Amino acid sequence: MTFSVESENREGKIVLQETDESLATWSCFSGISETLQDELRKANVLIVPHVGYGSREDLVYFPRGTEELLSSLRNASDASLDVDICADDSTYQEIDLHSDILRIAQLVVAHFLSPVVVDLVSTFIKQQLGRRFVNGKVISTIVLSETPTGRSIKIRYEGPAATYQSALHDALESLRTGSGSIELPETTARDGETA
Amino acid sequence: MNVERITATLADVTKHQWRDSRVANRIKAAIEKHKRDAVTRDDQSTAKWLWCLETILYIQQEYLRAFEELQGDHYHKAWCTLEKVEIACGFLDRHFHSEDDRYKTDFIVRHTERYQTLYPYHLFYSPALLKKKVKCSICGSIVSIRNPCGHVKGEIYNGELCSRVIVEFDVLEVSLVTNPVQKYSVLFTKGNNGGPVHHYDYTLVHYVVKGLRTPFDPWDISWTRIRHPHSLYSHVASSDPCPCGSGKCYADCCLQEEGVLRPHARVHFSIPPPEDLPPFIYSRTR
Repeated sequence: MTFSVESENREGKIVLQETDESLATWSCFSGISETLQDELRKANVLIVPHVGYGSREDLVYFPRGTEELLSSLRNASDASLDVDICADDSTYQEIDLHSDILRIAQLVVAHFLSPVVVDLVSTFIKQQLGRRFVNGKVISTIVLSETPTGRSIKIRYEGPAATYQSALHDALESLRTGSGSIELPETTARDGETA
Repeated sequence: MNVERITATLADVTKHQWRDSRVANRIKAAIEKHKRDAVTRDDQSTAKWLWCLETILYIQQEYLRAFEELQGDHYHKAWCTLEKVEIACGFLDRHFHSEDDRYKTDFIVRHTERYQTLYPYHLFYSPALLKKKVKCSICGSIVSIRNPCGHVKGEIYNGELCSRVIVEFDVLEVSLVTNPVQKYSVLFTKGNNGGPVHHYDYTLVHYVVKGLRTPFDPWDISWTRIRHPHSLYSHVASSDPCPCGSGKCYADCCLQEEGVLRPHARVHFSIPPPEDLPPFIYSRTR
């Protein structure tokens, strides 16, 4: 049976699902050269593109800010990280959606690095949003590649930037313990808002 | 004008003397001169500080301009000016922080957001752009994802903000959104003369601005929902949708209560408003 768990509240949603995607499948992505594929096989954190946008099913793209995300992850002091991006210069393109939601490029991560990567992405979110962090929204997808059970798990989070880190860590803990349930944390009510 | 004099003048913003453009131009020219000197000496730290001062001056000027536009009832123009302020504050945020808010930038950020909440704009155009080729504003090279030029977007180099310049793109679609990243694209209907029709109700913005004596009088707003008298909705038939927006029929909803549940804004003026400011009852879907 396919694994799938989700939690939703009035502010956001988190979904954990089994997936066929992994570091191995993305490192031989058809849109890149063989030389680059060899490079990507060494990575344990891969930034991967979205494929398909509306009626353009073959469009391969990254969200705005991917350049900064790559730089931020590569500059992280954690030596165990080998970060790469599943794109070469001739094919790399970004979509600027102009809606005020921070969309983080999809990450495929060796499962044992997931807590570190979640913390690094959280720091990136704080840097990107600055003072908008308190009220900002974020969309992020992380694939945990080949977990100890042999399957890969995709975690998709859409909700307040402020609860991203705790929600993702709760999800990782739930996977680790096999509790099978998650609960999305809530932010406190904003100033001036009353029921 | 030396840098100390520049900072002292910027800290005097509440006297808003540089809505006199001659004063603003003098400060701007002095900052530019000091910045050129710092870059010549390769003093990156001073050049960055001067960029901060230049941006603070810009933010102050545009905020004061927005207030003037609001006072003149040029609401859409003021909205766009406030958007410029918000964007510039976002750039500054990463590089400048002042505990005592001596240049009033924190005040401006807070109050810009508050002015925006007063507006009746809730739907915006939003283009989705596919960026195919992007240039670095510092070195002019085409951005390479695998071999980056080393200039980080949002950082300051030689006293200039590093940004990305889109040189080749496709427009994928234009959407309608409620939360745009840039707020310029307000929806207007088109009038017979081809220009926009200002069909929005700016009563609340007008009320707040009339209650302020200076652009730096602090104020705040809180939103609740209260029941408004049915007499305000005498034009609504009992079989019509309820004015509270529940989607139910009026007769089956608020008509059974003591009033219609609608948004209620409470404005708090820290400096007492002019005595001739009339009392105000406000109600609209928010």
